[in-house]
Amino acid sequence: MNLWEIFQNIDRRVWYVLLLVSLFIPLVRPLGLPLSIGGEARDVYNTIEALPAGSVVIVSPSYSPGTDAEMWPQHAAVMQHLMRKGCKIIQVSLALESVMYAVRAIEAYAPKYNYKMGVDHVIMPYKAGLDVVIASMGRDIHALYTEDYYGTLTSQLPLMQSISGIQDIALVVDFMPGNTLVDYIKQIGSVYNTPITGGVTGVCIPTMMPYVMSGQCRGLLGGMRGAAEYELLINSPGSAIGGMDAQSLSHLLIIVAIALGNIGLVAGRGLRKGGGGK
Amino acid sequence: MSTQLGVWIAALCTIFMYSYLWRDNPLFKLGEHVFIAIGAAHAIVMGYQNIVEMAWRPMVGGKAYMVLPLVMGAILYTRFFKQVSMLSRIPIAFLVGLAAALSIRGALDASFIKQVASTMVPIKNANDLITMLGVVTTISYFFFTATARSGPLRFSAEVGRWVMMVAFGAAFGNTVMARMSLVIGRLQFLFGQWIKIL
Repeated sequence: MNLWEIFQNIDRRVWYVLLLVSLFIPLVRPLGLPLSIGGEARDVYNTIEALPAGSVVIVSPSYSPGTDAEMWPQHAAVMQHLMRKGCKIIQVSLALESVMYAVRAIEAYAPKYNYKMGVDHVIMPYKAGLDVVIASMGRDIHALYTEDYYGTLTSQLPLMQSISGIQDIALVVDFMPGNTLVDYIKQIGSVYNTPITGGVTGVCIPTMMPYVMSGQCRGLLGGMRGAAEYELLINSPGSAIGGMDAQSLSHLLIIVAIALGNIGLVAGRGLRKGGGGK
Repeated sequence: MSTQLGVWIAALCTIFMYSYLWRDNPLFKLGEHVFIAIGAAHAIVMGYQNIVEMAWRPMVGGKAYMVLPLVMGAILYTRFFKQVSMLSRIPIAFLVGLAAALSIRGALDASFIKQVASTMVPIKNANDLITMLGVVTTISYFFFTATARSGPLRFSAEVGRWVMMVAFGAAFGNTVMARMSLVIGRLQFLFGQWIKIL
């Protein structure tokens, strides 16, 4: 076996170990690689920054533990920004497990910004149905949610009393690993002209970019990178910025792996054509 | 090291699952089966809760019409009984009709009209030009008539194929980034919350 063939046949477990090392080292000893802020993350920031204090915003954490690493940092950063701006927050859940993230966000940041349940924020219970729920939210949010997550009648909550319907919502922010952000654009943004923005996993960025470029989605946070950019924008470093060096180094390793494999393939083919491989 | 039982269970399950990267083993299988069991149990509990909260309670609370979704839901299960299995098509037809109507409602405007309108913009910079060329050449790739396989359309279709390959490459790059983020998240948990060296 010549060198080129070795390049193409490196045991996958060697790559796993190298990957683990490339992820571990920057986590323990951050390299401090520079991080630029993209236009999409800045658009999300500017959209929220432009909201007057007291604006009512729907935040929809539509993710589950499987995408926690990408979505929670985005959710946490945006919640901090909204609370800093003094916005009223209605958290709705479209995924089975996402209520616990709504609760986690409140437990983490409400005490710091003195946010009171029912007055400054409210958590709605999970409702099955995805775009059916979103369409119902647009039609009559009071009929959809008669009780909040803790069983209090929403008609008794000052925050819910202050809005008559979707027309009083200044912004919808969705965090999706699936398709809910598109559903919000279709069922709320397109029908009621309510501004929509949000964050997605890296996998979903290509799905969302046409909506961002057409202005239907006001900016976008893409994966852990998007969360890190937002943490920088609000000057509140968190787990996403902490993971960026590891992400960069692991990508570098993958590029090296792709390069080695292809160099091996091309060079090996050249050797075979020239008879050097025999 | 963490002293919380939950953190230990989560950490060990994470290691069990990643052990598959080395080779299939009983610990991986244990983790896999526990995950499936918990997932199934969770779905049953949440499903039951949905029925109770969204239909049963409103029905006994006076909204008699909520009996309809309950009956429709029950009819879905007739598919397990050969003689009456055709009844299950009624709620399925209702669901398909509802989903189609809902999708069309917003999709036509959001995913078609506005997307086409945002593509038909005056070309002011390189991005606009690339978008326009990308859309036109990609659409030309999907002309399947005989004339599309020769002449200028063939060239355009070839360019469209390359545009799509670049798009697929970008999509795959994003997927790699997403998967790395998930691993980083697990490592941050293992080394941060479990071993506590971060």
